[in-house]
Amino acid sequence: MAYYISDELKMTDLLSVTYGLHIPVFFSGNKTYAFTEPRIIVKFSLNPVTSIKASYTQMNQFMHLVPNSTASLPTDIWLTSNAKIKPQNSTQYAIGLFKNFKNNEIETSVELYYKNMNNQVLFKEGTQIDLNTNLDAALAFGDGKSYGIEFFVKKNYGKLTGWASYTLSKTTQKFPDLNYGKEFPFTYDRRHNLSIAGSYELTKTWSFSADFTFYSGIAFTLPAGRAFINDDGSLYDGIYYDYTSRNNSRLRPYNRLDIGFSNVKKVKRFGKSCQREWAFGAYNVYSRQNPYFVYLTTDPTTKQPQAKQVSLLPIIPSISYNFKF
Amino acid sequence: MRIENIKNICIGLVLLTISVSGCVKDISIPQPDYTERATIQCSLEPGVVPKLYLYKTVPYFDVVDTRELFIKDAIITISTDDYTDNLVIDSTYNYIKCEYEYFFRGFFPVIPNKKYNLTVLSNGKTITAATNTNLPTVIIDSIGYTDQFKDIYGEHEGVIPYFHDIPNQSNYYRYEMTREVDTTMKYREGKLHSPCIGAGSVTVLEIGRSVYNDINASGEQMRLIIEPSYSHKEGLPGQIRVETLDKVTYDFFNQLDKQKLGQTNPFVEPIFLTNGQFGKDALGYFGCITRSAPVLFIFPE
Repeated sequence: MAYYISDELKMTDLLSVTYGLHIPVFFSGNKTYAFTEPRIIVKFSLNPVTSIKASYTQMNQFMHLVPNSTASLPTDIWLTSNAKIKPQNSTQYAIGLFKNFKNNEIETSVELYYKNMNNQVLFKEGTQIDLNTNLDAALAFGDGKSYGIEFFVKKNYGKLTGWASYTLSKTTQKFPDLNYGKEFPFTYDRRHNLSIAGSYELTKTWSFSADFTFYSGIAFTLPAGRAFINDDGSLYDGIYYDYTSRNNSRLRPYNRLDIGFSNVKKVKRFGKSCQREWAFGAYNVYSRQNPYFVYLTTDPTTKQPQAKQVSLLPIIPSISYNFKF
Repeated sequence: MRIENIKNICIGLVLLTISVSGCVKDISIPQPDYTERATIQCSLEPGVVPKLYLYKTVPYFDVVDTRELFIKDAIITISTDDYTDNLVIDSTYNYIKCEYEYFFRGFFPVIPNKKYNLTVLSNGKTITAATNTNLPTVIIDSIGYTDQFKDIYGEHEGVIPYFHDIPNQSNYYRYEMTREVDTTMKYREGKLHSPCIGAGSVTVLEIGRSVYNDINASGEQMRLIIEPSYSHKEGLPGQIRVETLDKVTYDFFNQLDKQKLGQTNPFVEPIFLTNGQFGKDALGYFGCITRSAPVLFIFPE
């Protein structure tokens, strides 16, 4: 349940302020959480097509993403807040420059942000989730921060339309009980994130579209060293991992291009005017083997460690027929 | 829906998707920055000359022969207020691995209830630690057996020593069994291959994978349910002891046990081996161990 009030105050022709208050209320068993989340956006117009916006936002979240930090299967778990797990809260500061060109045909923006996050949740070292796991005892709590810069451009009119965005960001976490208490990258810390989407009108009935995505690989924890333990031929004998820091390695970057051709025509069916569309497409058109996850193994012959990458979904062609009436 | 069910569904979906469209390939991952350090393993046992294993760690992806990891050129002393024992390199032949195993050995049997200091000079570094040899021993009450028990590693047969905890102090325990094995038996999951044993047999020391503490069991009867490393034959005898460990030894092996699980189970969060007595220059332990009197155990069928 949440309540929200907001108002826009026009101070002058150039300066306006939007301010509001969000009040989320969350019930979990015997525990009730209620917060007041103020937010304010100040907009200063430099001219009719250029403005600067600055914002301050407080937020609370009652769902917690708890990712696995190993190189293995991506088995993230979502947990709701309860008496033990306090809601995550964040404070975000942002400032951006917004400018339009060619009679608003092209929109552009660049925005800087910084976000502080508290009550972050991860699993303690050695946690194995099974039927009997006391989740409350398996959790570690800490803080995080994220900052970055976002570039955005969008073309609204013409034969060619589309948008592109690029984000350069860094997200880290710090937990007293993990990584020797030192800061480490968040699992989904992506340094680069680029998206380009476009559509081109080839003829009155045919159009071509393409979407390109590129982002840095997620972080995972890779052993930095190997320690050989020998204890009189016991089950302890073997190679152990010497970890030096959490989330110290990265999956390879992800990138993918999807394309599609579309043919739209107005037709008559059953005496009525309708629109039909044939769409031909290809997902991951250059069939890149993007990493889904990585696991470590030992070569049975050489006894040396190996890293293996599992990829999913090569090129997938598609054809579809839509009918609107 | 229970987490276990969700997990199983997730695994099923992932495996199905991988089997339909997945691709697995070897990749090279940049080696994280890593500074080699030593691993030191030494438990002093009263009445027995000191034995110390000293190896170096290596960057994770380095190609090495584990036999090259033993640090030969170290200078090691173990001393009390009364004497200093200068350790020398010694070896035993491991008939199962068909290779020599090297270690450092002292000359003087360890005296009970003494404080001992360890000094390791290696690679330009001096590593020191201290321990006390004041551990008591326990007496095994009886030995039980189950043909099937379930732990986090799966279902196994189990040997169960019963004993009474030493009251009013923190104690740490581990199991060991000495027995003869031959190549008709299995080691862990696979057949025991060893051309060095031939048609004969060899004496092995099995040390339990898990270590135990006496939290909430002070002075009470305890039992350790242990999965033997090797399969057995009906009527095969074994000599079973319960080891009493000190806390540093317990902590180290407890980490190894948990990490071993993480190495084989992708759902386990990694265990970082923490710096113990030796600081950042070395992993391991310099502790004390005592063993109960052996009790004969005959494997039933």
